[in-house]
Amino acid sequence: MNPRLAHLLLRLYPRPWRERYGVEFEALLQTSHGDLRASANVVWSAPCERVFPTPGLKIEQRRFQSWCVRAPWATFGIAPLVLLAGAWFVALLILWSCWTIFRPGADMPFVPSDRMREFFYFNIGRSLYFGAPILIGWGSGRSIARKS
Amino acid sequence: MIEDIVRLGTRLGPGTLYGAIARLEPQGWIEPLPPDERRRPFRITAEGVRILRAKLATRRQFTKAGLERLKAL
Repeated sequence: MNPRLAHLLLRLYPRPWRERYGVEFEALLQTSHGDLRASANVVWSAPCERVFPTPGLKIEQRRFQSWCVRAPWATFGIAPLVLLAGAWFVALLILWSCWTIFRPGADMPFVPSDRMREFFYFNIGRSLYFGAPILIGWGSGRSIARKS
Repeated sequence: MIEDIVRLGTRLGPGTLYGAIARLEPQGWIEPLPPDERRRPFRITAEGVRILRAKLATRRQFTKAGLERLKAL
């Protein structure tokens, strides 16, 4: 198997498992035949190890303290939704205040304007509204990758 | 070990193999030997032999009872 693929597959396992078996497992992967079958087997086995970790392997103290890591539903579900709701609330507040401050008589906020301050203020709100899901998804993924 | 299992007509993936190793080792049923370069061989312990013998004996009894029942059909 390609060494880079073997290394990537090893990263799917939790850190305590990698610290104990990582070197030998990577060596086994590199010498194993049938990339697709072996990869599929590892892709299936690694999440099982995360859900049902091997008893007896030393788990770092900080991992116990992080409830986000202990509860994947919180990392993938509740925390991003709360962050997204907060970001959208702020974005809508900006857009609404921009409309009421700069365009009090307008029927809708989406009217062309060449005033620089209004343009920036409006676009901050709009960027936050559309960019929040991407930023929060990226942040969640990065947080999980760091802690695993 | 993988080659031994292939001879029996089934395939054991690396994830499955190390899943088993990671569960057998903390129970003291297998133990690691000094590493051979990056690979680490394992061997069965005396306790592992005892457990395996007991499991296989139980399976043999099941198999025997099943085959006898099948003969009657």
